[in-house]
Amino acid sequence: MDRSSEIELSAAFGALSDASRRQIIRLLLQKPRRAGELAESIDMSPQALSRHLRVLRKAGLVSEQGIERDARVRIYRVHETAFQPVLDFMAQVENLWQRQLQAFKDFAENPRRAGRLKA
Amino acid sequence: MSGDRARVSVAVAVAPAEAFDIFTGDIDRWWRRGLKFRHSASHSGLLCIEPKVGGRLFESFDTDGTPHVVDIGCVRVWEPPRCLKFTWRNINFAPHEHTEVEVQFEPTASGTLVTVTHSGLSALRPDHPARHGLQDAEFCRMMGLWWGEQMSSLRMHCAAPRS
Repeated sequence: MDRSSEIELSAAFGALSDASRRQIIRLLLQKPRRAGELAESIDMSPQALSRHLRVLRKAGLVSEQGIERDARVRIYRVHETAFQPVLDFMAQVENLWQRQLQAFKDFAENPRRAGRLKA
Repeated sequence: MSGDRARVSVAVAVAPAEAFDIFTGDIDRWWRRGLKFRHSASHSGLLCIEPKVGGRLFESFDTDGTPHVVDIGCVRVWEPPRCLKFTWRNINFAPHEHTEVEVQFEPTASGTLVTVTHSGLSALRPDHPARHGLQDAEFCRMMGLWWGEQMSSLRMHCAAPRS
């Protein structure tokens, strides 16, 4: 992992060290939401929420988007790429097991092996 | 820990009891070779699982005539023909880093569905907080749990087509 992605990850972990911000991420993983909706769901003042969202945004974990019909409304969503290193790692593990299980299948279904067993 | 797992299945055309026997007793014969899969890339290496709870999963091999034994894990559940569980650690894991592998053998119309679930992986994530100067143990533990909890929803989220 290069230096800049290390720094990015440190920022991500720093941002996630707060329980309220983790709660925000959980809610945003379900679906993108407006700030007002988030504030209501976690019972937080709009000012406090806005501070937390700023931290999450700076860490690259959350992105915001305007909507066309109302410039004042901002929609927040989880920014997947920030989590990518973790997901990549999981994918690697799955890939290794996939290859192992394929080897297992090839071996188990090999007629020569079955022949040997019967013999 | 609930969500930090890799899960992979394969359907094989043999009955569960036979699949279980092959998976365990013949593990050295089907387990892939090469450094990506074994500690020893040489053909002399042997992978073995002792068929009982508490049994070891280990690899033995020679390097220039010197014998080596590497413990990979320990059998936690040995319930043929349905379930096998063992702990799993790679040679580069820290002493506290443990993961668990569960193998289930489910009967199907044409044989067995073998499912491997490798869990506890968040402890090993490549971006472990300890590697970022965040040394506080409580923080590490908490983040590990948190990643664990969130892994499934993250992955589902990332796999879902964008709206």
